[in-house]
Amino acid sequence: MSFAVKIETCPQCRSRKTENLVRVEPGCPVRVYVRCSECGAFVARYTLERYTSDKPYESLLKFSRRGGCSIASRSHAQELEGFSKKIETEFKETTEAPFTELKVEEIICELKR
Amino acid sequence: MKLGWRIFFVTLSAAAFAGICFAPIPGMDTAARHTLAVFVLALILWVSEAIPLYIASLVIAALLSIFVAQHLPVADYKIFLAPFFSPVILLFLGGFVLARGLESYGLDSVLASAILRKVGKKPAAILAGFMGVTALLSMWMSNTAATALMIAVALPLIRSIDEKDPMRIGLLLCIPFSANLGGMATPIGTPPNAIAIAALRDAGVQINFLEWMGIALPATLILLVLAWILILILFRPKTKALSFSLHKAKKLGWKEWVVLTTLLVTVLGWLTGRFHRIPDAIVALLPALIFFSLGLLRRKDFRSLGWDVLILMGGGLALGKAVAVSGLDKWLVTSLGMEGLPPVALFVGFILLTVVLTNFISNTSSAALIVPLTMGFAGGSNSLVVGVALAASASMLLPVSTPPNAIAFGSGLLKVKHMFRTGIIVAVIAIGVILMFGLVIWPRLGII
Repeated sequence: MSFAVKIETCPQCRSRKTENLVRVEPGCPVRVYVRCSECGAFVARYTLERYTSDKPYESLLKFSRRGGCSIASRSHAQELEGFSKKIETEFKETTEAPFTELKVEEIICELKR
Repeated sequence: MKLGWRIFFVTLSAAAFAGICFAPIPGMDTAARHTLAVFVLALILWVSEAIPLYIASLVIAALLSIFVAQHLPVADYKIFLAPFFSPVILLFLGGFVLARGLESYGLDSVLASAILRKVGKKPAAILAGFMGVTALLSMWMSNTAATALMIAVALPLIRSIDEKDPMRIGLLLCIPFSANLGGMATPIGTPPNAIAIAALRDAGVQINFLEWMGIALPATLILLVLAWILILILFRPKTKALSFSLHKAKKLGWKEWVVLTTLLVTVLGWLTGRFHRIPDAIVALLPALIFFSLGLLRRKDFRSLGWDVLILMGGGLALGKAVAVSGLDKWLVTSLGMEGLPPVALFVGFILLTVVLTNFISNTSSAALIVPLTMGFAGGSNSLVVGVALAASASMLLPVSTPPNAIAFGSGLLKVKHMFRTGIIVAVIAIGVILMFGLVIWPRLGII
């Protein structure tokens, strides 16, 4: 398996309705707390390397301003050029993939093995 | 790049290195031959980008230390490591800290908005405003960061312009072009400038911050004006007046004032080096001392400075050093029969070679490869070295030529043909202006 997709499920009530609470704090990476919309239980926490909104190009501009791509290399330029397209393609691929019932920890272990 | 290609290029570079190291080349001593081997390896790795550019730099430093140092009259490998902390690297580090301070406190946006508020509503004036501000910012911060900021400012305006109005394309194109051109004007504008300064310094020619600006700023201004005229001709605006909104002027707090004052004092320190005699590289430490001591920037900021750029530059400088101390530059000049060529032909040849190369590989790598070769002629023409550095910034043709172009292209509003058609004319104009300055103006004024 090259990648796996799982819909988060509440460990308490098994609901699939969740809310993302995005926590932005100076000096820390952005963290996303996932809360169950039904019972309010904690579902998961993600630490973000980079945040990309529904406007990937604007996200790219913010990232580039922070010196995220400082060397004028061809590979870097190609990466920038394909930034929005890559996100679009990955999103489509993710939504179309069959969902797994494995736990995220299990998927991570399996894919990293 | 796929793993197979990476392995192919790494193997090719290793084979070329070994082949040249062990091949008997008539009239070439061991140090020069080994340096040539490292040079060819660097060429393959930097052009192919089979491994990250900065890692290639470390490989270069290691190979020079192992294979070249022992064959030099004074065998000391440290001469190939010293460039990684040379004055120009320190100068660049200071520039990075300054830029990070400006960006962190939004002062780059404040400066851009303050100038753009004054440009009025005429499309030509707005275009000039965006070009001027982008160039001004890229003189002090990375071309990529300046482009990202200015495109973010310009996007709402661009989207408000009628889709059939060529001004949309013109406005979007002018930003990366101005960033590339603006980088030429100061030693910290872009790494090729620093590579040229370091190479000249090693040859005994000292160029301080103000002197570089005296040499490069007039050429930059002329190029900007010509690029502005060209964009107005190629993308003639249909609208008579445009209005755009900028964010409200931000009220500056004490931290912002400290950053601004530090910027002014540092720039003043760089421009007045002749009077106070403090080297530019030492002046460059001031922003780091102030920003980090006062807690205006944190360790996270320090760790995310452009260390990859500095390492890449260090490798380029080490290679340049090796080419000079091993005598490879002199060997190339004499054995390739270039000594008898007229200086004008050499100048034109090197500038053309640089412009072609820089449109396909990193501008830093282009300068790092070509500047050492020009040093063989440096006794006759220091302006050639500066010309090559400026030409390395003429990456205008393709989205992949340089990140500023890629950022503009990433908007989805540009087509490659727009960038190529305009960029090739700007590149030709740049070649013309650099030749004019390098062959006529700088020598006549005796400033290099």
